[in-house]
Amino acid sequence: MKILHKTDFPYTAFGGLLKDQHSVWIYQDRIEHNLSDKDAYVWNLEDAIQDPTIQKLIERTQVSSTHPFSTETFTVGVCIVLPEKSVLSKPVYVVYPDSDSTEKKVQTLILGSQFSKGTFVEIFESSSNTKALVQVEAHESSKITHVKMQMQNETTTHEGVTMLCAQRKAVVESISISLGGEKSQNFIQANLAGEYSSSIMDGIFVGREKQKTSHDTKICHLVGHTESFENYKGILTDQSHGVFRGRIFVGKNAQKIQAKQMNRNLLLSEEAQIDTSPELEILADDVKCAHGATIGKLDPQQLFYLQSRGIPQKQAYSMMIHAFVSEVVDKVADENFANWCFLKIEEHLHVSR
Amino acid sequence: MILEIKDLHASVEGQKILKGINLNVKKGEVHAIMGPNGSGKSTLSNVIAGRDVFEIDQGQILFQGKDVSDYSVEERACEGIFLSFQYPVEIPGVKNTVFLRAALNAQRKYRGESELDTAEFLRLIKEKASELQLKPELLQRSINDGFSGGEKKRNEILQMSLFNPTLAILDETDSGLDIDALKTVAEGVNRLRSSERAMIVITHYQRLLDYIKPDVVHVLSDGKIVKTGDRSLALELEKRGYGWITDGTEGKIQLPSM
Repeated sequence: MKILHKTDFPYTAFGGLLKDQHSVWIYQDRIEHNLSDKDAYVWNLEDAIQDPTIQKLIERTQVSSTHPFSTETFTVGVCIVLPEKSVLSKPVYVVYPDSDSTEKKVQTLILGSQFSKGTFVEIFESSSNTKALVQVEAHESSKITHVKMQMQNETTTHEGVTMLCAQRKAVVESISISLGGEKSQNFIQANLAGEYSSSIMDGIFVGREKQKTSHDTKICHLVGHTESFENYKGILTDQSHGVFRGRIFVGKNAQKIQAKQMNRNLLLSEEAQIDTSPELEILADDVKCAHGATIGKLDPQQLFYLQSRGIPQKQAYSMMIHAFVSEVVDKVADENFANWCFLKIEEHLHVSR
Repeated sequence: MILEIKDLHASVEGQKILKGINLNVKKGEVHAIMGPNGSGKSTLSNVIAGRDVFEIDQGQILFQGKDVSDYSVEERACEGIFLSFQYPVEIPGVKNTVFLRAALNAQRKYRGESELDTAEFLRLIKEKASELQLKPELLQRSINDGFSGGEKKRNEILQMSLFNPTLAILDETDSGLDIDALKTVAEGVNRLRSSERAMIVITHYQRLLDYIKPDVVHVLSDGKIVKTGDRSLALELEKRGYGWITDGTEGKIQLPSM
């Protein structure tokens, strides 16, 4: 498997979003990227996990846990390591271009060394069924953000597992935006393994027609003085069905932790469905946990107000949808990417201008 | 004639609220519509603006000679009808400037005028905001989100000034305002009085009419206009209450409670 350093990519992909950005392209037989070694090392996954240094890095952070892909093997993938103190000024786009195979199975491993900082964006727009495993290991005082945009063809399925682990003073962040697929399932877990670490877990799921979309999330406060923030927004129309499960586990010795969870949902049709369930399991006794869930529709008063100023109904809808998701989308520091997300969400709901 | 309402009957969820309204408003005129709670004042303003929860059962609304009964809310706005809300709606997440520019450009597009770019728009809106002593930072916030009562009403008048409507309906603009805020809002409204524009001021109390002096005063009761007069009618209502008109009996002397 060859690793090629390149600068001339087909940047027209995703509406030119990747132009002048860092990107890593993983094909069946090679990996191409434009990162310098100073910023990040790019490895073929199979080789990386044989490497004793990488093995040690993984072992140092990984907390044994099972997930839906525990017994599966992944052959195509990449391992990206941020060296100590490497702070990336731009997001890294990780792209798995479509191959001929009917099923796509890919794994991304991201290791953030001490004091490193970086954002990694994966976009899935495959026309084949996809299984995607992501592992993020954030070492002491690092901050790693993983953004996933799933906009696959609506005849496909998507199964995703994202496992995040934060060491002392590290921050792990997962933003999952799910638009595509006939059926998509995401399992996302954050292990807060070091004191003063924190996790941010945000997401948006949008369903239309007969789409089924689910997010099963789990945050484990394994030690004390850790914080977690979770905010999911669902928008469902037609006969679509959304599921949000938010589990928060606080271990027996994880005192003085703070956990906040929120899931808000908009139902835009009579037949759309949402199942939302917060599940808190708290074994420690000195903790602050808050959770909430709401289900509602677009406020007719707000719509009337916008329209009474001359704004056409479709544009008024789009402004209100924009307002609903902006809390999450605006967290993606890259403005081009955020605007592109807004556009894709509006297109998916047929409210784009 | 700017507005002609002919025998208008309207209901909400099967309940009849307006029971035969006739109203003619000419260019340059300011009409006050007064009446006790539940008489149909707010329904009338919402029906003119086109809110779809109200059903027009009978009658016509002619705006500059065109029957607008079948027009959508946004079409009426673009034609030049503006409603200042009694309770301006808060919309967290939608920035005031983004909203105002989208609205102004939608109206301009409808009228075949060129749209304003961001710089042109910001220049215009800042000028209008300073006339109303509206803090510039409120323009950068979400629509009415966390605004005080006075700020919300000034934001409404700001929109009226921006959209330059042919007909402005002010629904209970005085509610929730202290006397200083009331004066600022009334000054803003008075600046916008023009021979090309008509206004309908809907109010429960005469207080607002000390500052915005109407040409015609109507009393609405149980879905009908039961009395029409000049400004002196408003003063008389303040002294005598609504009872003597609405049920024909002599009302007690009633000072409006604020």
